[in-house]
Amino acid sequence: MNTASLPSGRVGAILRKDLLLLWPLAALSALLQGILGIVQHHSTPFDFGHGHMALVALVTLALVVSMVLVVVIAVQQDPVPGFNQDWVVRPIRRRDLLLAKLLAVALLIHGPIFVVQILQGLSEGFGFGQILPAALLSNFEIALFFTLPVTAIAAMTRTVGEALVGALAVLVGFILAFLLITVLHDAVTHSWMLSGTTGGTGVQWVWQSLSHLWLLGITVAVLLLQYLRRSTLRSRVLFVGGLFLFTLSSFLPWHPAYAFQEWLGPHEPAGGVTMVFDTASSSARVGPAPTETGVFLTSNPLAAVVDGKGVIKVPGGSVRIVLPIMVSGLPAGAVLHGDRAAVRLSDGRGTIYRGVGHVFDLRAPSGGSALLGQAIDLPKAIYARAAHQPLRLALDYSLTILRGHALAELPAPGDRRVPDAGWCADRIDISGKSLDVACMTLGAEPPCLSMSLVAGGVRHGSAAYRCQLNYEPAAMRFAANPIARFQSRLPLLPPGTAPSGGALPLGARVRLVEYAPQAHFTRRVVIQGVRLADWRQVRAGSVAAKSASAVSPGHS
Amino acid sequence: MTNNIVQAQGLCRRFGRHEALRGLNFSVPEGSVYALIGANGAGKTTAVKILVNLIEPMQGTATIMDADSRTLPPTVLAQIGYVAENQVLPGRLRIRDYFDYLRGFYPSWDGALEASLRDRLQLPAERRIGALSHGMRIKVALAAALVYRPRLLILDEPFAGLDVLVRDELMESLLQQAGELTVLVTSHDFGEIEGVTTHVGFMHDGRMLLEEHMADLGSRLREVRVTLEQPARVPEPWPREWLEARTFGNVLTFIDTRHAPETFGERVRSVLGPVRQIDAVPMPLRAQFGVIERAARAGVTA
Repeated sequence: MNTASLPSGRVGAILRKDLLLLWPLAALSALLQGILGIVQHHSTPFDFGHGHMALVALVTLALVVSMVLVVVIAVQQDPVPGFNQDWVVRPIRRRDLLLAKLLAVALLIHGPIFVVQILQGLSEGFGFGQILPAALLSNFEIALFFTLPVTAIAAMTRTVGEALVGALAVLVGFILAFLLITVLHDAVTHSWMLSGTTGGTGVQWVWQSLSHLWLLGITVAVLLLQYLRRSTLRSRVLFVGGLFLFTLSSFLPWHPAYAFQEWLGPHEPAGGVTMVFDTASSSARVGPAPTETGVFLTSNPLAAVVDGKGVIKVPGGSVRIVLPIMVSGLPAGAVLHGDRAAVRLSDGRGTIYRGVGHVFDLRAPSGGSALLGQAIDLPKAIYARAAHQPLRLALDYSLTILRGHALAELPAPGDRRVPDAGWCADRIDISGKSLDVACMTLGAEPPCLSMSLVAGGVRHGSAAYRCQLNYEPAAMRFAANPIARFQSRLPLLPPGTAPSGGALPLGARVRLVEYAPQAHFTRRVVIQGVRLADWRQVRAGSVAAKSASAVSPGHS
Repeated sequence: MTNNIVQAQGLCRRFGRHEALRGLNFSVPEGSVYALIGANGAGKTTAVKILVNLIEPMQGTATIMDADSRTLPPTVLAQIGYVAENQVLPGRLRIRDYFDYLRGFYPSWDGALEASLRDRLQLPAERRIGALSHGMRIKVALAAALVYRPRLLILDEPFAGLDVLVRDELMESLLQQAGELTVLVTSHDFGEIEGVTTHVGFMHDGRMLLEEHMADLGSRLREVRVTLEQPARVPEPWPREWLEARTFGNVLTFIDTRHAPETFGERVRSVLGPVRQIDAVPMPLRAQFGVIERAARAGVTA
């Protein structure tokens, strides 16, 4: 019996033909993948030097180009668009052709990547059982964002040049659409956020996951439409339209995302937290100590800049007001993180402004209360119009309680394998003034870690935070590179306060603490009859008129 | 009853504003050599591409071996050979690899015939298809269409742009299998196909003007030359079946589209009066096409 008459035989015949044609390019791509694996092998968790990074970037670029060529040429061996294709008049099932192309991409692109990742993980000291799921998830990520979209573009075009021009056109269109939507979004919400409504927050993953599913759906739909229906025009419209909607996903509203996060949990009780506008406390210190604030806000787009004279530089065309909000019922040892503070100002005739206030972190080491200075940047025009009127101001808070738990303590200097953080090591940097702490982990790095130097149970110096809050369930967090490295720097004691140039206290260790969400909840603060002019902030640590007390700049 | 291997009914296809097919009907009897003829832009290639599902019709249906052209199963495709002037073959493959690749898809692949065709058509096994001349590529396509002994061979302008030697080689290869298969051919080269065509369909402006057995068409179309006793003129009324009447002195010529040899002399005399001589000669396919096409443009049925 002719083996090609079986489905597997037909798929195999197409695959063999493609491999026969593509093996030199595929071999080059695999070689580059191997070279990248070798240059990325570092034998320590520490970052590469700049020269090494440049080499990695160069090899990565060459690898990406070769992979694009392999995918496009593999697909276009049997082009789908057009009216003259040889394969259409051959007894080849379309689903067999699609399957053969996907198998070729899997074999020629993902095969080498997977093998190199496994070898790389083993050589870095991880077990096979540890590296396998990370490599599989990494390949899923690469397939989602690279190979499947490239395959879809190749299936809608006839030549490599056409595919590259098409991809470039899509990219330019994508950027223009994104900018246009950002401008429109800004006009409505008065918040210029390139990262979108949830960007840079812990719930970014909600819409991001949805958009990833959407992207997967588009590429699969395009491939099915092309191969099963050979409908190139419809496929192109679907792809471009789908990508436009993908762009829109960054601007999906906050509330459904946060409501989903609340529903998903975790659900530890947070009912005791209350927030009230507290003019009586306005002369008290507003906000927690600078060293403990802003730790999770690494990508806060509204972060304030303070010049040398302590004058707040607010975004152009804005006026900053700071309102004292008393927060009570804070659990001991936890951090209250403000994910979002939606602001709505209204006068007697209706709403005059909708926007967002600055986000914040509050910590009450022994529980209880803390005063929050809620900063809001208002457009100058709004402020000028309404500064001296009594207004109604509503603040809708989306909040999260985060609690730290110690992951491990590392010898300083030294290294240790730490569950949930990977292989961590620390060493005194070349200047001798600080301690570099680095970890190499499988999959995505922990969303929020603090690193501090302790000796004799006492912390020395401030902690270094490495936080990009992400409330996504851990099982769903993965990255294109299955081995992630992250590094922070801890200042050492000043010279003269410790032996040998103040390098390290005796018996020093590096404590790693991971912060994880314990509860998500919302609170509303409504202030009646507020006059904006009373709460305008001019200088860092000062509020005009009523609240003359210190407001931490790091608080914004 | 004739068994039609190809049947097209009401095929319509538009490209932008251009209507390539406007309700095309035709049928190809099994075992025939069917020539689909028409001027440039008549819609021949579109029709053929619809048959093998390279293009989908917007209206109408086409069946090959009773299978809908839009969903031709591999079992049917394995019995169809297709060669087109602008067919896109896998250019990066060598000829040998191309045949090796195709072999697995056709249960009826004839290894001996493959060797014979490759030898006869002088196909260099190691050459990449993309590096071949147009003529060589057509030869490769033809060999790759004949080698599994298809039941239906569809040729879309196969001789366009080929030199005489290549044409002869192709025709020779075709003729060697002519008895085994049904051939549907579109061509401008009437000389090449005339000798082998059994059925002919004339297309004009996306429609079928007429389709007929070649022998019937040849016997009813006659180029007539009548020499009269007096200077010739075209009398009124003039029979509708006599087209393209012209006069030269005593001579009147026309095309008889319903030629009946037994009664023709009497009919001529009844229309033209006394005549000195009547010559009614068969027309070659090229001339037949010319008459039918001109009649169609004039809105007359030939």
